[in-house]
Amino acid sequence: MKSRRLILLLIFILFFTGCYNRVSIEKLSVIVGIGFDVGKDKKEIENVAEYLIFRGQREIDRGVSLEVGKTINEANSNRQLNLKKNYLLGTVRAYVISEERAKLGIKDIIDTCIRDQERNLNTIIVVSKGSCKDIFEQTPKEESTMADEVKELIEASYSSNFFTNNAGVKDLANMYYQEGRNIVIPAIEKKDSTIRIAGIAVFDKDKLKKIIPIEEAIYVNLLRNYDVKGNIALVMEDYKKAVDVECISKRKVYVDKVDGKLKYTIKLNIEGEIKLNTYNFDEENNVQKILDDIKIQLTNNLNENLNKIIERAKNDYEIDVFDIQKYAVAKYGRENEESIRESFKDCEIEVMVNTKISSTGRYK
Amino acid sequence: MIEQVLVEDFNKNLTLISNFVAQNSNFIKKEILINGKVSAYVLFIDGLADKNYVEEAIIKPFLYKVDIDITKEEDLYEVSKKYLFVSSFRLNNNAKDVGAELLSGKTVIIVNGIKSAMILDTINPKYRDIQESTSEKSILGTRESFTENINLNLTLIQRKIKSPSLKIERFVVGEKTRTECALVYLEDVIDKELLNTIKSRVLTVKAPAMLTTGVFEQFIERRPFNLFPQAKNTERPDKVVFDLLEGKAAIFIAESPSVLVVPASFIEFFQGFEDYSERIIISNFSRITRFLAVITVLILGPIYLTLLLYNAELFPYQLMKVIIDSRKGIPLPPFLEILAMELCIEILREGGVRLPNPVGTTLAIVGGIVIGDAATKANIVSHATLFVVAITVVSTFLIPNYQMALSIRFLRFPMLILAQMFGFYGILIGFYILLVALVKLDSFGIPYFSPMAPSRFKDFGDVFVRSNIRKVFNEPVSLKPSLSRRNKNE
Repeated sequence: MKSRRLILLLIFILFFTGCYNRVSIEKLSVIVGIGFDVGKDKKEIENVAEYLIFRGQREIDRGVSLEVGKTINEANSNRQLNLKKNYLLGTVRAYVISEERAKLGIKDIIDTCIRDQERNLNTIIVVSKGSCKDIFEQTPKEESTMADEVKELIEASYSSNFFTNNAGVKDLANMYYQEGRNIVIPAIEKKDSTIRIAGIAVFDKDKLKKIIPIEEAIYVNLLRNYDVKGNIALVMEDYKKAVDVECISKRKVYVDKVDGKLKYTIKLNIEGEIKLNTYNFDEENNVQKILDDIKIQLTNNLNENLNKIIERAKNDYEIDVFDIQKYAVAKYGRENEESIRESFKDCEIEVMVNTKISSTGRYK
Repeated sequence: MIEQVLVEDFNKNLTLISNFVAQNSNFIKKEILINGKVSAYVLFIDGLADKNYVEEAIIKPFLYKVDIDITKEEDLYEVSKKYLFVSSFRLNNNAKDVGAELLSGKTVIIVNGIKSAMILDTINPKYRDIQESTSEKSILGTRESFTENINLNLTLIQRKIKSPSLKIERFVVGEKTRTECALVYLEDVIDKELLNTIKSRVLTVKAPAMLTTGVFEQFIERRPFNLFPQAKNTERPDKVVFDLLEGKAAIFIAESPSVLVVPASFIEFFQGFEDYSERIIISNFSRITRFLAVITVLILGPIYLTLLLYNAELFPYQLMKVIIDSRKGIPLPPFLEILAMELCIEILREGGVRLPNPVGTTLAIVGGIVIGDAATKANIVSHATLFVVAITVVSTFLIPNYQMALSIRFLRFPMLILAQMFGFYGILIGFYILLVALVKLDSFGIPYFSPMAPSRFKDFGDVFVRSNIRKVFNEPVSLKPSLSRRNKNE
């Protein structure tokens, strides 16, 4: 009898509970990209959203809407006032933060992206030079939406210029919350009616400090990232006398105190493959000699450029862009984090480049 | 109470015996005169007994060869020794028993002046020939399958196991049908406790009639409302032999072309018999595919539904685009759409089961291709849903056992309803209930979910993957309840 009652109770529960009032997927609006911007008075925030419009028969359109609000989610609620469908945030492909907004601080963005479990932690996040609306209102050339283009652009960058594949929201949160680290994320810009990577955006806490142009960003990337790939061009006179080496870099960082000052030693192990050699390739030349020559050239080139960028970081950026202070914090304690951060200008950074040419390609 | 003991008067004996045999036209009562002096009746039922054989081997010798006077029972032995062409013969003086023997196809001779009837084995051996099984196809295994003839079926087993410990216990079930049954096991392999459990249930079955192994199964199982089969039906002797060698018992029922193997465990319904004849890696690959198929049947539809309804953001982006696009303009909500398609498939399947082969193919084409295509073109069902349902249906064909396939196929409906109501949580609840039901069930005292629960690591050589064949042929510990730790402590 008891079991029968239990079964009856279960059946009642089964039929009178449940997730009602849920709309199925085709009645949802799919938001693919979100831009974070500020209004002109810098008091209200502007949220740009790019969403898909399904017309049926394989025809998919896109729309862009701009909403204003005092907070991110207020702007989202306002969006529902004119959007005819409910929307999902978990489908967002890319977040774009405008330079203006980044300079004012992105604490709220980090918080809501982590806190709101509807949002995906792997979404790409970038800073844009100029406003987000400029980015999203362009017509996509290669993908169906601009958000897709941003995502593809960032994902394609991993294989060159020593960019790392850590450009998601969770990496941003790691950089923000972990001790002795600063946020460094890719920066994009609108150029010739499309978008391109402009460099890397460096944050001090949650505020944008500087966007480093791509020419310098390559060497910053090389110094800060582990196991990344990029091309180093050694131009002797012009393109007719040059060597291209595709390098994979691995770094190790050691911290020490010398005369009360912090001394960072960055050991870079560069393994290169020659992709072009119009400089010293001659079939009659000794292979070893060619290799030794290129190796010296490569080491010298890297030493020169890296030291230049270190000087620039110390004097111009005035912030640890190389992601090395975390080692100092780990070694000397979290209570010294502030002093370690402040001492960046006075610390000594030494780069030790160890190069190795692993292959010369099809030619010997 | 009808008098049952035979007397000296053969006419009275005939009446006594006739009380237990229906008076149909094929009940032959042939009166003969032995050695010109003694009267006798030859009784048999034409069709059940082989008429030509009776005439040649029994009536002819009695009429022409027998030259002794039959006055007492010993004379009958003499006759059988000297004149009859029959191998098996016995005497019985109980009219009811004699009637039963007649109905099983034997020939009875009642001689005037003798209180016993002579029973001679003349059963008509005309049955369907041994054929290849249609429901359990074999590629590398034996082509033989069981027939309706219980003796032939037993022979098929005896031919494969030439061991003195192969025991065949015959018994009769069915008050009206008097169906002959046999319990077969290997005495030195089967666990004594298990054998006692089986015997206590099998040999005491009381039923008005016994028709097939499927019916018998329901008389001996403990939980008739459980979804899962608690005994295994098979048509193939090699499977039975394999199970007997593992320490199980087989129940043969006369006039039934399948054999019931007890006890059964959940996992064995997914182990194809071919697995043991193929290369280890290949057979394990197909076995894993089979398990994936089971999971597909159970959860692909519900997960698809959950993603459509509750967790759209979990769809991969590109797939989501395709699915939203394909669902544009579909009038049915996802649940009804999937349910309608699944029911449609079930109707087609049920329709196809009993159709002759050529018509079945037409049904498959009309049902599968035409209806599916029409439904998507008319925008009643989306392409994506049709794809999901089709994959589910194809997956059900991977389950080697027909009964288990039916059970699993049925389970996808409750799972679908749970998914509709509670999303992923519902699917989890469904799995939980399923697991509890499986773990709680037992088949003749053997836990149904063994060797996983309770864990018998020694038997893990042949569960989800099979290991070396040498390990497979070990007798499973999980089939030995008398060895279990709990029993030892008692």
